[in-house]
Amino acid sequence: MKTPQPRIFATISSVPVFLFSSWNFVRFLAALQNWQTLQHLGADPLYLAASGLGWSLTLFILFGAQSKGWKPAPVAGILLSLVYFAFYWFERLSLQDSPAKNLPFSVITSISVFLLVTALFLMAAKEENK
Amino acid sequence: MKLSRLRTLPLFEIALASLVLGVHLYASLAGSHFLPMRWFLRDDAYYYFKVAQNISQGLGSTFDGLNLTNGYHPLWLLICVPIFALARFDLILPLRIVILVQAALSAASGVLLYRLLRRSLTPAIAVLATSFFTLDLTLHNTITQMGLETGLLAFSLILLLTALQRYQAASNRRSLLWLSAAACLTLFSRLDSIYLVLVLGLWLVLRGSALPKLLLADLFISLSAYVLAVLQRTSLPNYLPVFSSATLLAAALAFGLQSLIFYFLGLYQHPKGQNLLALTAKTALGSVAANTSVLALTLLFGLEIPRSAPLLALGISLPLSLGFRLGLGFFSPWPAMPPEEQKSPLTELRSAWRGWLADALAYFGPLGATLGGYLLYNRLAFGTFMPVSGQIKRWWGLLRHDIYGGEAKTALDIFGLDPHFSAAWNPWLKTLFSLSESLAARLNSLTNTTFLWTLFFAALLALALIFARRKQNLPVLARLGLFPLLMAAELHVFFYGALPYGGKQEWYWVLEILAGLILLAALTDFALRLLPFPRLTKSLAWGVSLALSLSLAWNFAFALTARMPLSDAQYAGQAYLDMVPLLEQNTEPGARIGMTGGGNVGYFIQGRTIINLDGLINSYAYFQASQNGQGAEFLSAMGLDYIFANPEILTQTEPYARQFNGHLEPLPGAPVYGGKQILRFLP
Repeated sequence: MKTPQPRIFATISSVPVFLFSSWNFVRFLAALQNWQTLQHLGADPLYLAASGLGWSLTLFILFGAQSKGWKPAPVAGILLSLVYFAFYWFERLSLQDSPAKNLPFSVITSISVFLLVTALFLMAAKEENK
Repeated sequence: MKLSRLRTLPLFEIALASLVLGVHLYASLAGSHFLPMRWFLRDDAYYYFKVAQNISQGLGSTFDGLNLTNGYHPLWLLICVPIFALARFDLILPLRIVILVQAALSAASGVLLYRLLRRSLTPAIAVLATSFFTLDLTLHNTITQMGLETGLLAFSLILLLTALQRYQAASNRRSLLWLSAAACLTLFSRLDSIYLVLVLGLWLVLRGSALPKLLLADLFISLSAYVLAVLQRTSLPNYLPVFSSATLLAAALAFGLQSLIFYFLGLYQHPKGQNLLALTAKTALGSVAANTSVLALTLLFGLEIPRSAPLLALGISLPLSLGFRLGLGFFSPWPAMPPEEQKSPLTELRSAWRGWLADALAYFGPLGATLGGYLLYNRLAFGTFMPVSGQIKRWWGLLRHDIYGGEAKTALDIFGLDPHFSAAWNPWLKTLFSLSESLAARLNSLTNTTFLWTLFFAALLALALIFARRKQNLPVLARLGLFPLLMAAELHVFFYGALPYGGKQEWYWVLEILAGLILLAALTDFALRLLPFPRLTKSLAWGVSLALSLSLAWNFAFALTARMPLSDAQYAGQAYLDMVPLLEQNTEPGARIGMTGGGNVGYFIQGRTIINLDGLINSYAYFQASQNGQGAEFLSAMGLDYIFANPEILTQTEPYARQFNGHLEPLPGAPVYGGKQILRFLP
């Protein structure tokens, strides 16, 4: 049996996947915990909980696929990051009452993170195909 | 592709990086007011930010837009320049990005540290040590949060240790060049890393024998002996301003002469198996010859140290040098070299010098070239080779009644071991000090004496743990680079203490934090390996490590997210700093306002110029003027209008009293803020 190969890009690309999975799980838990407050403030706790749980599970499955070395995982990762990017901006522009002051920061950060994650997934795909 | 070829993903590293990045991403999205109010709290960080902003706007390396300055560590400033180019759009935006950059550095440092430790220690220990380094809130505050060069320094240091580990395994020229590159990164992250960079170079070039260990030990012994000898003859308040430079020069002379004599007497060969009487006689001969030569030079050239100091130093250094050699010989687990294989010092020098020179060139060459280029650039651009901030702090150390303090307070403080005053080893010594305090209360003895005994017994315990399984443990310490690391850390502390230096800060001691942590992790590992029932011990270690790491993670995530809420609605319409509207309302647009610090105000104020009065981020010309008591004239020539400071500090403490007496007039009706007043500056 050959020596296992190190998977640098698979490892690095799994960090944002795990991060956003955890973050959305926190969103799910926070929505459950603050259900009445959110309702009182006019936000929809069901939407926040469901979207948090949905993203958390989806990204956790992707993380599992990455760790098992499932070949289509990087492609799925690119598609999901595109959807997540769109979801983030949809929420920010249409659901948030007033856009926060940090708009330039959000633009720079979200685009940079999206590009970085896509690049990492591409490198991971190349690495897994070696 | 078969799954069996794939290595499992490193879950701990992914979890750690995700946690660090996630929490910081959340913090970076916080309401604008919380960034200056709850995250970037130190003025010194804004020195970087404002200079970087000015550079990006083409004003040059200046804080106030008027005076050129080099009072910073260059690499962090270089990273800040593109980030603070965004300050022209929004002053908070770059601060958010700095949080993310610091988060990336912290996560990378954590992952590298874990890998460094895991290669030599039990994984459970590596997990706990890494979690502590990355997630402990005090360390996070010192290393990551302040926005200073410390995050970059921690990353560079760990990268350097990783490169060292690789070089020790591979020992080829390529890995030595990588090591040199990592050393450059470390040096320019924080310039006082020079001690580590030099010690490591010496260690690498002379590796494979007892020479570097003995040489470094002799260096430290000589320095300590001379400082203690002069202190014994004078006193600390006299030593620092009057004798310190000459003392260190005498120590360096003694070390240089002694090393030459020791080398040719064969005292840098491994002491194991050497005849005890011969070893003692040779050590005594070398020490006596070196120190009496220093005495002669002292008398001949009038070196400003007490004449008895070289003899006292001899009395201190001789037993220590001999003791170290005897200890090294006694505890070495390896067999002594047979006499027929032992080379004479001259033969060794003849056969080894080419290799030493080649390695020295590979390691020190790039370092010397970059450092030389940096110093030359400083001279040409700023009129001085060294950063002005360091020079000013040396000057503060010479002043009596200076406001910044920070110079060594006791002999123990020079070595960073005074629990009342020393910050360098404090994260590790404070537990010992608490223990000694409770022991002192029970034994009805003095806390300081009890502390010294506690320290002594802790050192004995550490040595016992190392030497209990020395054949296994010494290679672990070597792989972790602990001897040069600890030696460099102590020299770093020592030179800050043994020379006058004012205004030391807690973030100077990242090297000591790291060295202490690695040592503690290694000792814990050695202790675990001594316990019976290895499988049970391993399970228990994992249990404790995971429980503590999770507790650290929980505390880290909740404390930081609670500190940085997303909404700052309660501050809507308010300034980022209270001082800014106060100054804007009481001074006219275009006014030039001096402040003793002024970093954050300088960054946030609009339409006014803040001029730094302590000189740390001002020009070399201002420093020279301040030294000559001409600071007010210098400021007057550049059109200073106001000073916003505590009048008592300006008129009653150094370095300000000599500058500003007679140049200040209170501004009628201006409010007082935290003891500070707006004063009109009279030319």
